[in-house]
Amino acid sequence: MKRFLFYLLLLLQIAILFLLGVQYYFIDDYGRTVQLLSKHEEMTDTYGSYNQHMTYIDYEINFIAEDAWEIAEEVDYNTKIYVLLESDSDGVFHIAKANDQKIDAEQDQVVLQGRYQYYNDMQKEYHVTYGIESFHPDFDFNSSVRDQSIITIQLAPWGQKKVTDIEN
Amino acid sequence: MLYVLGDIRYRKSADLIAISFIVLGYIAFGAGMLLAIDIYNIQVTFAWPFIIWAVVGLGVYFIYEHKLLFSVAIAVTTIGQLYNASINSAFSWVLLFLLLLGFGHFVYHHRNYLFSYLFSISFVVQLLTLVFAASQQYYWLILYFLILYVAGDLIREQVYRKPFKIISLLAIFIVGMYQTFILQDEFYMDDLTLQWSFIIVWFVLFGAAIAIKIIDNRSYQLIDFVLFLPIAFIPFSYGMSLIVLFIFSLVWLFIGYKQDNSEYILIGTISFLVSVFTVYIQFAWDAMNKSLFFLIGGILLFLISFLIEKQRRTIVDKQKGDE
Repeated sequence: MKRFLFYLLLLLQIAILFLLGVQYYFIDDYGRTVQLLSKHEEMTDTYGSYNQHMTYIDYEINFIAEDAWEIAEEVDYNTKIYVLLESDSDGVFHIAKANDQKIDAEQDQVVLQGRYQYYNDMQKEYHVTYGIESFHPDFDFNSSVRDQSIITIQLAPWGQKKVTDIEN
Repeated sequence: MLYVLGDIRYRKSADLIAISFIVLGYIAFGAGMLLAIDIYNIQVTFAWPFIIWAVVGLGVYFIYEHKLLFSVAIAVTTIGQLYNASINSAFSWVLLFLLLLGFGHFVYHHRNYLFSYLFSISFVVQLLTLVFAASQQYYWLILYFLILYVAGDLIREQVYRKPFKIISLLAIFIVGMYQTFILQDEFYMDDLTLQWSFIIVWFVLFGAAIAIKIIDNRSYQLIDFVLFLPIAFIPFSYGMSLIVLFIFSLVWLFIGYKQDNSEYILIGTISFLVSVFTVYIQFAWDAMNKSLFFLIGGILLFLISFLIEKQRRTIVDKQKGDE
């Protein structure tokens, strides 16, 4: 009995580690493609050594203007925020509204789950992060260009997000 | 790989080397999972990596039944709770239920002082996280620790009773010290709202706890409950919070000398000295020059340690004399 359980547990652990890796590649096949803009020029930056370089991007959708913010009360740091994005004629998604309740998305809309960071008094903006701001890119892009770029991300049905391309 | 090595060794001879390999394999699994999460930039919105890790830990413990595995698994659960609170600002109820039902099951069936201590420490730490992560009023801690205390009181076996009670008393005493600081602070006091739901639940549990003590004929231990009073609700709460600490320690000293019980005397002495030090910090911090504060504080600490040591020696001598 315990012999059997040992092998079961061993297989389960290998399976979990395997799944974590495999789901990353499945995002490409099953994910929904969404294009986003980076915030300003000079915001895309790379740091770290050449071997394990990290990329940091400030997206346009990180900053939510007051009129799109539909939460009345003050929210705590790290609160879950649902952000509804809507695509424009070019297929790039912009913020429609943000709420702390679940939002239903229509045809050309998509809902991202983010976490509230802080409120910027000067810009009258709420800062929300989505977990895709810093990542290890597995594609080539020109990191020296400092213009506003179009970033392609894939949204997996199981809630993971992955950056797949950066175009200047 | 480490698992397999450990398992082969375990089948040959069930010794510490085999278990060490299993522990290493277990840690490597968790570390591998966290590494994969980092490499593939997986967004973790709740504590699932730690839930998986803790469940695997329970499974591994079930197979080999070694103390070391239990300790590591319960540490993973507790640290996972803390980590989740710091990253996601949320409390994971799953981890708490894993502790209560999963680890609690083994604590109950494999009577062991170490397990009971680890279990109650993890319980205290997790509920502390709950209060902070869910921004509850601090006095809910009184209720949570009272639950642990009553659980210890309900069970007759010393192997559960002693660890549960000692850890809950230690925790509530620290809360009591903390409370003396915040009740003094007007900034926090403004934030403090009194919830009736707390009072009702507390009243029921407190009444039940007293009833248990009286039925069990241990009324002298009723003094423990003075720490579980919701001081924040009554007038002059600041002064009361200090007085409560002193009542607790002095009565234990008194009972200890009366019953000639060295353990009670020790509880009384340590809590008394710590209470003295709390009062000293309270009154001297604002009033005194800082260098003087630390100088006198140092002398006070020296005296306290001297007294504790002297106390310990007399107790040891007395116990030797008894034998």
